[in-house]
Amino acid sequence: MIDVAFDINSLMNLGLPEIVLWLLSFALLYGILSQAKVPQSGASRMIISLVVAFFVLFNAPVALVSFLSSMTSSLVLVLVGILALVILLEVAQIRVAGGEFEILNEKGEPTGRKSKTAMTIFEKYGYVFFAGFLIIAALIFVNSGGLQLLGWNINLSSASTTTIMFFIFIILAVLWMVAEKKQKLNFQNIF
Amino acid sequence: MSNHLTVLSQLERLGFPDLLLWLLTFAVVYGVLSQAKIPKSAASRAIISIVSGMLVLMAAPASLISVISMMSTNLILIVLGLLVLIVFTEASGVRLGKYEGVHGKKGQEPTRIPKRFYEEHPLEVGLVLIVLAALVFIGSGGLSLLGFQNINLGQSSLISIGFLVAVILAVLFLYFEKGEKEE
Repeated sequence: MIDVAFDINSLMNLGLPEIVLWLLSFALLYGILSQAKVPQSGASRMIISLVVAFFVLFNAPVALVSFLSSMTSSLVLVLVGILALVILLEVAQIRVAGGEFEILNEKGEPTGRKSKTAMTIFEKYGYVFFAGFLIIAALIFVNSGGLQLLGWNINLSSASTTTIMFFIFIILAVLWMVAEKKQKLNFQNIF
Repeated sequence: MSNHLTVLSQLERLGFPDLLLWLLTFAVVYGVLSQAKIPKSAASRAIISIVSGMLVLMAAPASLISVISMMSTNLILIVLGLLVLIVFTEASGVRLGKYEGVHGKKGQEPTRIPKRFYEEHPLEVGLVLIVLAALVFIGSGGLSLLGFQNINLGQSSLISIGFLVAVILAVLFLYFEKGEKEE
């Protein structure tokens, strides 16, 4: 429950963390609304962002600021790790085969000649890296206390975690089998 | 007469959150009306927005402010979480997209068309965002404010709903697979 009796005196007592939180909320909302151009009136967008940023400030600013600092430090840590990996890969000039493509002539017809392309591992195995980053981002969010702030108090015991892991493995296995079956069907259709 | 005095005294007692709520209602209503250009007169739009703001203030502002405040916080949290994922993918340069059959310009080497995840799978991303928005709305107490107070989801009912959704998805998958075979 928020403090509805929030008044001008409360505003005067705001510290740097609260101001930073207000600024971040305002910038995020204004940026997203401007990108979507909803509503078209710029003044309306500005007022909505301004007011919503104040509403964020009303609701447990201390917990939010603590969550933000925890998440930002984890973000920077992982980001430095990713950058180190990218730098190492670029220094070693590691590339994987991207596939073969037909080269077209001036009229746009296939010439029969094929060219091989090379790409980074982040492009070749995009899905794998995306899944990995999704898991890392989710872990950072949960570890920083994001779920508690959202009000989703999920307390998983070790037994239920194991069950969920098995469930995920079963789903992945079924998906893999279905994908393999579809590939075989397509192969039969071609020949 | 006494009623008028009551309203005036209520207006005098309005605090900063009430003022913000009025401002938010005014901005949202004015923005939507201006986007739709209904009515054409800007003055009418402004008056409608001002009156809407006043009317919202008269109807249980404390609970409304509480829900909006909670929803704003949750929205910022979700956006920040998504931003973390976007920062990771952009920093590493993760790109998806099918490269087979991509031809280059005439007489030139083929050009690659790398795509971001949300460009490659807009439907899936949209569905996830809808689910997140619904969870934020329900979690902030939006349903109780709308009058749906009897929907209390416990952990066991959530698991049952999860299984039900899985069953529906499985049936839909089987149905679509059957349709593909018939074609």
